[in-house]
Amino acid sequence: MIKLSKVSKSYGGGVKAVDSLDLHVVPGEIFGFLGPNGAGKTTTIKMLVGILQPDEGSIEVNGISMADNPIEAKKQLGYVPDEAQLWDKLTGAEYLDFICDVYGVPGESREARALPLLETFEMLHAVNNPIGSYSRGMRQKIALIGSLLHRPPVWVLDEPMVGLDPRSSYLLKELMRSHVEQGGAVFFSTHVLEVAERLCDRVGIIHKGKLIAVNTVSEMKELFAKEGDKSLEEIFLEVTGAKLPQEQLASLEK
Amino acid sequence: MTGRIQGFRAKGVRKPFWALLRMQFKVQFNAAKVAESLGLDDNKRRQVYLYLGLMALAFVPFTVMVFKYANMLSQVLVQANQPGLAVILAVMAGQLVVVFFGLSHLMSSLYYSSDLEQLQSLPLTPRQIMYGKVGVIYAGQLAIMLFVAGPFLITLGIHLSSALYWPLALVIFLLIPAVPLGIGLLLVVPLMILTAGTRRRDMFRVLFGLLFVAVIFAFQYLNTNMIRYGPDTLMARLMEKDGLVSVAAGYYPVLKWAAWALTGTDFVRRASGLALYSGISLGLLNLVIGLTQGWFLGGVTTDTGASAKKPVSEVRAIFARQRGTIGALLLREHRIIARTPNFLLTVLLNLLILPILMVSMYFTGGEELAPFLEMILGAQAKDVVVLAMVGFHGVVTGLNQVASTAVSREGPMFWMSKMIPVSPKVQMRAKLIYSLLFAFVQLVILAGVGIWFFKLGALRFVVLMALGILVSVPVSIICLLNDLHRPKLNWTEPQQAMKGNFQTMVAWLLSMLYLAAVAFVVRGFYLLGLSAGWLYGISATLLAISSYGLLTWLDHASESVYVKL
Repeated sequence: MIKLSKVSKSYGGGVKAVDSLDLHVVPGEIFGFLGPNGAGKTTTIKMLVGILQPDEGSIEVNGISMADNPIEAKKQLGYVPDEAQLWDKLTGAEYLDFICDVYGVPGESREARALPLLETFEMLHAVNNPIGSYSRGMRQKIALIGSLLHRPPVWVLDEPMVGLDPRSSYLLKELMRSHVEQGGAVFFSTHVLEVAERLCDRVGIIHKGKLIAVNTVSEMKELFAKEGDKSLEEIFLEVTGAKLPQEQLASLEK
Repeated sequence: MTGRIQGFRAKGVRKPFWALLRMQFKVQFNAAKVAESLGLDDNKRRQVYLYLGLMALAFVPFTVMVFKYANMLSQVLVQANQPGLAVILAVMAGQLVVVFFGLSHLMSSLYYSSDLEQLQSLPLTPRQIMYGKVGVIYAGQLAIMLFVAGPFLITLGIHLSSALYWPLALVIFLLIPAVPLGIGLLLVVPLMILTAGTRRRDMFRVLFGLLFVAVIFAFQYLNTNMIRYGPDTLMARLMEKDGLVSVAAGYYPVLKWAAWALTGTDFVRRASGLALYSGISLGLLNLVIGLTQGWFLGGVTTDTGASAKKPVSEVRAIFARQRGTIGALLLREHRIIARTPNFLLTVLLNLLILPILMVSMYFTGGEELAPFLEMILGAQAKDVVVLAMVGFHGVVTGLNQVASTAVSREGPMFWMSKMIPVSPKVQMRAKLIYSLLFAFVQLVILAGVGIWFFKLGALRFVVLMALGILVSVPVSIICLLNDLHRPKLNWTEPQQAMKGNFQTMVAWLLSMLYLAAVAFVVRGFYLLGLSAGWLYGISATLLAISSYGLLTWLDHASESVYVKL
């Protein structure tokens, strides 16, 4: 459903943000994309959803090439950015109506699609208020609802749990599971490794623009089990070289 | 189940482009946006209509005056058999205004836009995004054109009394923004591409702003120098019908074509004028949109480029320096301005634009001003000039936006000022000192240009500097007080704090009232025949006393208002 082949992207000054990345996400799969800050997660996601063009490589969404047919490829996606930059001057309803227009959701079915989501995320009371008056969590929720109205086969979420209350966070996880059970795919980035460990069918770890590990969580644990049972967090710290020696940790407090 | 959500379309689907255009119009022109532009909080949105009504009322005399002037000019030009010149004036004035305001709107809607990434992730083509953005700006410019070009075209139509004139005039009017917006896009989009993902993005923004000013001056220079002919040729052209049209549009034939379309002597000339004007205007804008939309695909919005690492020694050196409280606050004020391109550009333009205007005035006939003043004011002319320049510096200080946005510039980070262990009084005094330092730089430039202009001599230069410093204090405090009471802290884009902050205008008007009161008193003593020394002394005393009073007010207000913000 998502296929990235040899995808690379550099920024000014020759900094390679993503380096020859190969990735394949299949239908019915929740894929967790992990990596330290600045590893290239957001750049990868921006290329995947068509905001950035890769310098090299190709991207396919649901079998449609993002380079050759970007409009059709984008219609296969529901995307929630890491910081939901929405139009503050629109009401939540106006925003959702606009999204329905651009994705071609017929007027007759808009309310029927939106209402259950608005009720689930407890946003119905606020939907006619300007987005500028929303809290961070409410913005995140309205962006999540907007990303699902056209019922996309592929759902891409960049740090979706940030700002959500525990109830909404739980509901989102349930929705992700339900989405893949219906044959869709979910690709999401997160720093919350416990969530990735419990929710994802497979995880990929990106570090300095390179995909350094891709596997199911259990297989990854087996692979790193030489020195005993390890959590995903410990594996992540090990492969990204983020574990500090004891003496360095002690010096931070001095 | 249906009808529970207001604003949802009940049937069918809008075309994506129309949905985008509709949404962009809502975002730009709804009540909340207007309230924000006027510096009103969301909960005071009802006042928007009151404000707009008052502003419309304030515009009535201006509009009447413009119509009267346009009417008089159109009548004279029709009588002189030069009606095409009125068309040229209308289109030229309109396009000049679009160059100024339209480019600034293009920068806001494209360069400083925060929604481009979101739009790019939607199933919209870059061409649709570009047309949507430009369409909204275009509509805004047409609204401005109603007050700039509209009066000339309407009054000319009345004097020409031709039925064919009106539909053609409508076409000419509707296409006025096309060429300048096309040129503007050619400047803005390459800048976006040039700066996307680079670490020197901020520097480019500032350089572009200065380049923009240079373009405006070049345009103005061309306008004022487009008549290249001697008096004999001009008189000969005056005798022909619309003979002045080709003279006035020498550098820029678009103006000539507009004039041909509306006042051409025969059908062929009118038709060719209309075809050329419309073709070039629409063609250029469409060509530029077509060209620049392709550049969007390269990713013009990203800011995700990795930042350069500072060497450890440099970081150590930064931490090793220790400053006092005021020093640290001043440095913070300076860094907020210097590291925010929008702020830096605004203050740089405020710093330079008036001296540049004065110098350009000097070279376009202003050198005769000094002898003229001496002729009508006699021996005291230079002292009057010194006092006038002090007043002028006060006006400029009120306009420079450094003091009038000192609190607003902190924006969403203001919480930090409330929790640092430094009293609000000290913080506001630091803001005052920073504003005064900026006003001083402005004074030095202004005084330097003034001395050259009016040959004032060393003693008067000293007096001008002393009084200039003194006048900066009360004016800056008035601006600070206004910003302290009505700061704009909830901005999401820096330009909302400075350029888009309506309260800067209020602060300037308040400082103008203060300056008018001081000028009124000093003028009274001048009319009584007091010598220059006395006038300087009285001015200094008035400024010093009011400064002390206002400073005391600022100190008290800081302590009482800061906590409530």
